[in-house]
Amino acid sequence: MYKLLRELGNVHGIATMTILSLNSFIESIQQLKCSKKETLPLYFELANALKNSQPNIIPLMHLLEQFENEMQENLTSDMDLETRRQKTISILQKKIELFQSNAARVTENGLNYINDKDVIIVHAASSVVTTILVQAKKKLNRRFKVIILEHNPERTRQTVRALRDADIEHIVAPAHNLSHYIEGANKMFVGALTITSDHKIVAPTGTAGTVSLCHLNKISVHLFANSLHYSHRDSTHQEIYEEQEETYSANMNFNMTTHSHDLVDLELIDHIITETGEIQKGTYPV
Amino acid sequence: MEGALIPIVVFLIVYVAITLELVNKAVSALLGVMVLLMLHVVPEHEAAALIDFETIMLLLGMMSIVAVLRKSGLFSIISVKIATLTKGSPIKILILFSIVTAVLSAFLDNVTTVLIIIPIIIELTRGMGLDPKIYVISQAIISNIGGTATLIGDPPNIIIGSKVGLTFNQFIVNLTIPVIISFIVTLLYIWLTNREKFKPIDSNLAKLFSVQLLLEKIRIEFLNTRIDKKIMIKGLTCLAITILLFVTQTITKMSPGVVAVFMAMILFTISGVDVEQMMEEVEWSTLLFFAGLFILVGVLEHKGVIEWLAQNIFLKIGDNPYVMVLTVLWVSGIVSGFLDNIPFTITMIPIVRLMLEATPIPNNILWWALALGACFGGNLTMIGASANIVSVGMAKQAKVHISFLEFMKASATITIITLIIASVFLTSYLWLSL
Repeated sequence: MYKLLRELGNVHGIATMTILSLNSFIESIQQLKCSKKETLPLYFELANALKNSQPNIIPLMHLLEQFENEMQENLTSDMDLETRRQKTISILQKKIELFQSNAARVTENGLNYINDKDVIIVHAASSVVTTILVQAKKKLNRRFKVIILEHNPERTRQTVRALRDADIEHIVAPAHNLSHYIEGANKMFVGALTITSDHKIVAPTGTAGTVSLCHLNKISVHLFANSLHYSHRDSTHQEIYEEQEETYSANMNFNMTTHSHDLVDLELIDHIITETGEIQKGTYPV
Repeated sequence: MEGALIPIVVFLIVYVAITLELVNKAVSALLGVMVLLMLHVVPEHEAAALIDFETIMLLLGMMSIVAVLRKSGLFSIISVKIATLTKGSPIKILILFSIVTAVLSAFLDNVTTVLIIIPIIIELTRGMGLDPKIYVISQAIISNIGGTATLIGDPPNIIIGSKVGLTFNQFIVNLTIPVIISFIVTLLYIWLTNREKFKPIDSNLAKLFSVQLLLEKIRIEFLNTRIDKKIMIKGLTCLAITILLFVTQTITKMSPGVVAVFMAMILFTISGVDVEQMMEEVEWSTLLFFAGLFILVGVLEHKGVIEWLAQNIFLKIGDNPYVMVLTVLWVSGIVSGFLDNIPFTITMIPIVRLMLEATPIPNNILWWALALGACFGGNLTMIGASANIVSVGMAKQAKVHISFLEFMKASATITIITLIIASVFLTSYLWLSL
């Protein structure tokens, strides 16, 4: 299950994964055949497993913690099986709505950070970042250019398709070519899986390098993340996954060590935009 | 049988080379033909006249149409849709995929069908922690069974239909019943002998959840190819018209080969596909293989070898029609399990013709016996049919290793059962016809 979550997370990004996971939870509950006595233990067992995924999906963790609390409060022993099922599904659906509402507010606030003639660098664009760019063009008719740094093919394809559909001027370049575009850019937009208690961001692989180069060249780095992305735990407890894979290249086999995500120092970020607006680094959004 | 020694030796060498996969099949067959030409056993123009161009055109036309449909992404959509419908239930995976495999095999070739189905069924079952082997084996078997139902579903049927002049409708009317019964019995057998492997997962919430993620992963992987709706609609329309023209063959008097190539060229024209790229998808080596075999067997026929075989082996079984039908069915079934059923079918056609000249049997029942034997028999072993070899090969690429014995453990009993079903069907049909 964790491997599937990682593989899909690489393709979809954290926001989509959170909603996908909750929808999958709902679908599974609808298909589940068990006795009334078994329902709660099974629901909590799955919720617990998801909270311990590798790496942690922090928004999902927060929502599932809320889910568990509401389950304890709302489900009574005299409820029949079908009522329990429907109540559980209703609670999960409300969590999805909460997440989507937060994301929509981040997007709304994010529109204030795009101006005409901006040249914006994006790397492994999250759905929130992509939505901000698209809405800035469609709703506000802002004219700007986007430099898409290639991440995995599926994520890059999704971003290119969204910008193409919105008729936003863009170029696609490999991440290692960033130095050729740095002088022409004035902003970088990033999303994050998690913002940790020791002021680091867990982000897609490659983000640390690109953010560092932007920071060095005084390009304003904007982070868009709703409060559900904030973790109470530090960076060492985010279960970032390390993997060794055998690689073959030019008649030679060797082991390559990869990590599922990067850690980026919050000091390198210039603006943090949440659903309540811009917040100071080191503060926790209310 | 004057001057028959060289053609016999050449044919046997080619047959061994094909069976043992010493050389590419098309190269084997054409090398055999070139030897005959160089030794002046047969003049070139006579050799060319032995090629059944009706069969070649039918294969070429259908391969071309399938190539365009594959490019449109149609098969990816179908396989992802079926995967989603199964909701991860092991028994639904078996049943739904088997239905799709059987139907696709009936109208496309078996190899194309397993090329579409096997990757997604491995991804789905392995992701669920199930053993993919029984699913791979079942789909290979089902593709051979499904392909038996129509003129275009399996190469032996294409050869028989073209050489003998049997129509698309005749195949459907006469073979659908034994195919459907065999399909159902096969699924029942697979389920009954592997019940543990098909236990439902709907009491396991974590597994149900993982299935949802897996289906999403499959959706991304298999729909990553560009879906071209315009090409898909044009392709499906042309395929529908092709089948309609097959069905109305007795009215239009257009042979299936002509229809298939005509519609393929129309589709190439209206779809705007890159024709050079589509031409690369056509299995030219298969077409050359067929051409070579037609010449080799034609020469044997010309030299009297086939008549000798018919007189000294098959006609010696007597003139009891029931014995004749069952002999053709079971000999075809067993031999097809070990040797390539295409050269076997081409060789048997003149033999069956001679048998019918000696003892007429109504309603083409002896031809149905050959078709059922050659098609069902291909399931006997891993090497009995191209679909089996391709399925096992694809499984191996996905690190799912299926040995010859593992395959045969499941397939041999199923083949015997389906040949028994065919025996009952044919003898009943014969009893009603006499």
